[in-house]
Amino acid sequence: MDRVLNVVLKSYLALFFAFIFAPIVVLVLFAFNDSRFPSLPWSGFTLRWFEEVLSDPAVRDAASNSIVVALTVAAIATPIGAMAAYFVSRWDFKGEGAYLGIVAAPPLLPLLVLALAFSVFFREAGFAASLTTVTIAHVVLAAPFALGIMRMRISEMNVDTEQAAWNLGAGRWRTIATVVLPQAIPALAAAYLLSAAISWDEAVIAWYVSGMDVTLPVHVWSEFSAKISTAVNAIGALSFAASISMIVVAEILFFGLGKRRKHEQ
Amino acid sequence: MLVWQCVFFIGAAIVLLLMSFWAVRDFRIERVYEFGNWTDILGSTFFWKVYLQTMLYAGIAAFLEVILAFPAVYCIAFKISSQKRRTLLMVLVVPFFTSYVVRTYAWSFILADEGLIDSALQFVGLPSVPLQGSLLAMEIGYLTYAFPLVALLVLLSLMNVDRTLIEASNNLGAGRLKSILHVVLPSARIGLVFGAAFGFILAMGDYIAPSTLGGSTRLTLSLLVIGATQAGGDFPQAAAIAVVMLVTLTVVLLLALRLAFPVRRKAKK
Repeated sequence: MDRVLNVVLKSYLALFFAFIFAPIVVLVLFAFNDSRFPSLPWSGFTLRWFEEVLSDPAVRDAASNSIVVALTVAAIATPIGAMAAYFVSRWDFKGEGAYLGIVAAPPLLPLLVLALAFSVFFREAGFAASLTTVTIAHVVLAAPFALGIMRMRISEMNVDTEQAAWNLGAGRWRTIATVVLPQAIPALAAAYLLSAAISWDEAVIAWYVSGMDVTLPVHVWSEFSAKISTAVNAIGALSFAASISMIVVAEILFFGLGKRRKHEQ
Repeated sequence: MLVWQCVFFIGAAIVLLLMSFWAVRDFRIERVYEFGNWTDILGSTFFWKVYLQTMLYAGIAAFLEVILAFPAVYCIAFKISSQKRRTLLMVLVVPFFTSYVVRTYAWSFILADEGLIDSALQFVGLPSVPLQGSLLAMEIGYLTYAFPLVALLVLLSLMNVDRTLIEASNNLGAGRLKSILHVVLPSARIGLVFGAAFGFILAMGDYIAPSTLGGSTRLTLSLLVIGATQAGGDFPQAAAIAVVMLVTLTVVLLLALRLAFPVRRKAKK
């Protein structure tokens, strides 16, 4: 009885993961299908959709816009998220809950509401819709994730070494630079990749505030609303490849090193 | 970070709130403070119909997500070695950070008329099932969006369930089902409640699934928002609807807090 139940549960688990990964796997598979439409029957293996997509100037522009935005977003979100995390973890102050509530709230809100708010805000503030506005908005969305990661990491770090540095006469900044930063580098890298991945994939805000400078998800969205075609599969496959590798590397940086540390203790 | 979020996030939220009172005259937005948008929306039966419909679709999504995720997550938490559990956890996080637009696109060609499922059915000689634009397709979109997050929330709470309690209940002669009902479920309550709450919120705010997989015929609040901003450029109207969504979201979160921590026990931060 026990064994039967275990088998049933584990098969269910496999099905569950199959459902979650189905769109990803099927999309990538059919990006290699030698037919205008991603449909059955299978018409043979080809790389021509990738060639077509990679030589399409609209796709290239959108992709390079997305890369610039994602890297800039990550470069802003990571340090401000890390500073906020260090601040919250090492100083007790009144209103910590309220501070976190304001700072970490954006990912809880529907993207569409955020998108609309940003679009009316930028318009009223006199910012023209451009990659700059997309970057600013994406930092608001991504920084809370950087904060979360850095907070988890800092809570694992030993406070004693910091206090030892203080006792040995190191000032606040010197302590951060020589004691805290070296320990935090893998987590910082993970936060950087995660923020970049969030910006890379975000479509709704980007759609509202990008104006004429289309990012890749917005391009996919407009292509996909118009038609289904295997070329869109190829763009999607490339986009998945980018975000999945960023997330996996981030996870290995964050969890992998964390595990080794535990073994040392 | 506080400065950044205050300027750009709180600032944007305030402009949104203010704008919900502004008016559109001769295709131009006038910064006047009136209740025109609000009386228009709140007095319209059409709006309330769409509102209830949105709540219904989001409620179905939240319910399905929690019910369908629970056995899988239970299996990860109790039936699998801790080494494998780490790996599965890491795998589960990945799709959450892949493009939702692209994943929805994948479902749309899988479920389309003459799409993968349809042509596979025809190939075997079965009658085709109209999935394109169906409620099922739309809910699949919502599930795709929220499953990883909901599963993660439930999983974290199940991993915190005290295993000695389960053993104790087994030793006292409770069957497996009884142990789950009386020991596991109450201990995992926080995760289940917040899993459902976030599943609900994500579905309520999502625009991509209803506009594509749902075939745009099943109206939701998010479709109304987009409709208002696109067709007439009526941003104030859209802002008012967005504020209604924010209020609903706050109520849902407060309800979730109430349900997750029923006694006045302090939430562990």
